[in-house]
Amino acid sequence: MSQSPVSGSEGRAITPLYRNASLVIAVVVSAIALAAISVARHFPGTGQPTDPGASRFPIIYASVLILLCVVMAVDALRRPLDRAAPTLSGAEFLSRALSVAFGVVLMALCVWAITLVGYLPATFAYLVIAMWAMGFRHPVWVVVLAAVMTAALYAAFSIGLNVPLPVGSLFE
Amino acid sequence: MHELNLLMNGALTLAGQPLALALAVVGVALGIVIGALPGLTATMGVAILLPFTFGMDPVAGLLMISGVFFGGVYGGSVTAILLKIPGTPAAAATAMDGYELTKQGKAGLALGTATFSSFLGGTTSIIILIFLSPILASFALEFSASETFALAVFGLSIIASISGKSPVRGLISGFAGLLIATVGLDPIGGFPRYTGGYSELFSVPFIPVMIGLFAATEAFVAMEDPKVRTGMAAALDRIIPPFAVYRKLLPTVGRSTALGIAIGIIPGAGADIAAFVAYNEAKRFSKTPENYGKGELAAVAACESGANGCTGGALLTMLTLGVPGDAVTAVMLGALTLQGLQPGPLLFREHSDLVFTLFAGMLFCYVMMLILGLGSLRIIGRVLQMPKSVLTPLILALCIVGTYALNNSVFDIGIMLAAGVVGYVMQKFDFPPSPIVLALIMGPMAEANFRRALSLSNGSIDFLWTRPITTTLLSIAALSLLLPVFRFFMARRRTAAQSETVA
Repeated sequence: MSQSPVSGSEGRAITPLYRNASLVIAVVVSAIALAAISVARHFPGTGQPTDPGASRFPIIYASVLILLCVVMAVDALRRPLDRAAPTLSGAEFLSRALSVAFGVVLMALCVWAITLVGYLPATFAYLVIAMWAMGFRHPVWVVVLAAVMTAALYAAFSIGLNVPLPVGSLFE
Repeated sequence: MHELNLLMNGALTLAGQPLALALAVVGVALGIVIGALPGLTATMGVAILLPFTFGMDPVAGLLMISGVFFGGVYGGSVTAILLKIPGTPAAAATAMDGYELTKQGKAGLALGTATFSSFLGGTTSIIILIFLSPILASFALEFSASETFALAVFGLSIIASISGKSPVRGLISGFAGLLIATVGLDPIGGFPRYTGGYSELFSVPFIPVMIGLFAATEAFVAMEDPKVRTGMAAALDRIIPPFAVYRKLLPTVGRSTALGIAIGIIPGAGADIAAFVAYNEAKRFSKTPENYGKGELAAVAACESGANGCTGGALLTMLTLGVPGDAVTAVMLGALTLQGLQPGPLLFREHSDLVFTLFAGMLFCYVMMLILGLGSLRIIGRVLQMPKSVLTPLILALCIVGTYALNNSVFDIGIMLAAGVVGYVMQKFDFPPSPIVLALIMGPMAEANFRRALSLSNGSIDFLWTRPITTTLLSIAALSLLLPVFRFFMARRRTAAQSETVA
């Protein structure tokens, strides 16, 4: 999914995807910065005449961020497009995006499962599914490795370092 | 000469205390493990071990804690280099070039360089602590809010040099980090900013963001490519760097150690700031600055010697003035007090035998760190031989547990996951993650100290140009920030001119 921004003899050309992404990122970041300014305007002062208050720094940072987004967007629009640059096919792009999305969703599910059934079963299940999904297809070794890794992390954190790992709301 | 005699006597006393020596070794080993695990910092390690030292002899207890401190600062570099998981905030700087070296099959060389540089930086800082404490302690007293603000701005100016190929994208990352750094309680008034009512956001969730941006992002990248998923990384090459190679790094190590000591002395500034500043200065002095960020050995040496040089500096102000240089020494200050020792000028006069035994023990800790570090690297390096399909889920599980361990909070894991997704998008479109980490470290320091300095000067900003240290640091910051931007635009103009000539 990697997109090389610079290509061609001119050395400044960018791919269409890179340009579109830069524009979308500029708009999204600017919108967040604008929202931050809007919220910061309602922060109260500290009551000290010498203090600029809680809002001054967030407003300065957000304003500079908007300015930088404008610079990036203008730069992206001014650069020539390199349509000949090698890009991924639609199917390959989708496959890669789905792999990452699966990883993120699986991790989010693991976090949710930890709160529900606790660290040990949730992490064990997560490791088994994640290793299998990433292509480690040895039924016995997947289970053994997942059990060893879960136990090693439990021993290091819970027993060795006294960090109380969650037992899950179902078992509390 | 007097100090040398005291140190020799201290070493002899220490030689007769095998338990203290054994506990020092245990402390260093534990410190390396704690430092290497994401989410666990040297501060946390020292705090965890503190209750165990209550019943111990002062030298044994304090040496064990020192061992954890030194090992913890070094340990962060191991996972930063091998897996791009900075075990500690300071190791985020090491990860930038260290992981690139691993990708080039030079993990052993990078780890060996990090170990030697940590040893040299740390040992030199302890020697400086022994011989120059009274002189350097007065330097710490020169630092008030305005100087600390200037130091933070100087630190932030590094963003320009760690921005990679696009300074604008680096600055966007940096200012986004600064905006995120304002989340939490206002440092002066205590008003909650952008917390959405969540008490978990009362302080910036800095370490979860760092783990997400570095470790989770790398794991997501490994997930997307089927070839990477099933592939295996290379085994470790030679660990001990050739003398001819390391000799060339010595000026960088020396300069970075000096910077680390100076930054360590300043109250409130720790190893994380020292590592980033050392990186920037190494790049500035380098004849090949364009190699930085692409796997430059000198960058690893600079970050590690800077971070470990900080340890002696931080201990210096703690022992001579009773002012802790960073969070770890603040906990160590408590340990000293619990042992019935009051840090300050009288400590050296009334307990000089104990203090110098402790100094000899600290040097011993660094020697042990070198031996344990080099000895364990081959074993630790075996992780590189695991298939990525096993290693990547393990990294993510480690991220989850490490992040949870910080505050026993599932909320923090959510922050880490979100940061991982954002980091993945950033990597795809050339936004460097390091400026965000730097901004999260320096942002709160800059704001709090600027506002304090403003209050101290009755609302006048005169302190920006009337205080010599402040003015010097701000001038260097302006140069650091503007030079890379100037070079970038000059290079672009040159490229455009060449294109026109060809056409």
